[in-house]
Amino acid sequence: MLIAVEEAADDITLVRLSGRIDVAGAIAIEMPMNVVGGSRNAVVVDLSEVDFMASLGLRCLVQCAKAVQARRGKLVLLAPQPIVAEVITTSGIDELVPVYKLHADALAAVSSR
Amino acid sequence: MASELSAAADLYAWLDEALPRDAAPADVVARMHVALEEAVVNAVLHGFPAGVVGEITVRVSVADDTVRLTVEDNGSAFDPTAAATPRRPRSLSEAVPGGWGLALIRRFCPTAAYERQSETNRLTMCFGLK
Repeated sequence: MLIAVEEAADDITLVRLSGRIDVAGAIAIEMPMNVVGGSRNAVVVDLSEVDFMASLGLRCLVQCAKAVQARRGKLVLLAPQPIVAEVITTSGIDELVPVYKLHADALAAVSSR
Repeated sequence: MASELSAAADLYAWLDEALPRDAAPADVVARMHVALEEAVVNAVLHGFPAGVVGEITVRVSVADDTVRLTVEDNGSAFDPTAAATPRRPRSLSEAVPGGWGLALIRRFCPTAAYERQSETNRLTMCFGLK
């Protein structure tokens, strides 16, 4: 399962991505990410189980983050693996979307409490 | 392959099958995948006018502990090794999704070389296996 969306406490939405978010993976997650972006205001995207992601996957993340922010919500990224972290920092996405290593910190960052 | 995203989905498996078994560390293979995706996606998304499906050819060879990846397309002339990288947006609201391919190619394959011959763009990327 490439993407799983679950509702956590405090109206936080946890999006768990897994596997390869390559060309096919990015196409597969685009629609559900758009749904999350269009309807959720506190989103943590867990990347800990993502083995691969390049610019097409980044597009999905950024589009979702922009949609959430447009409604004054918050979206953060959680625990990318080294290769994914390098893609994120090389692209500069980490300057636009906060990245956290710890689950608790990510939740606190998007919590409205 | 045709210059369409759907045609690019099988590239990674194709590359993995072309490599000698266990020839490259997993992190090197991952870097090849990133560079390959960026080069091909760049050609697909930006190399041809809207509605035009062009041709992209990807070749791989392995010799002397080096993997040589070549991405060719018959689209408009474009040198990803020399083009200026887009200015980074100052905020998420200002950001336009995309535009990261050049930086990623340069990061994951700093030795990438470009040439244009006979209306063809050719990007050659080499990766050491050890």
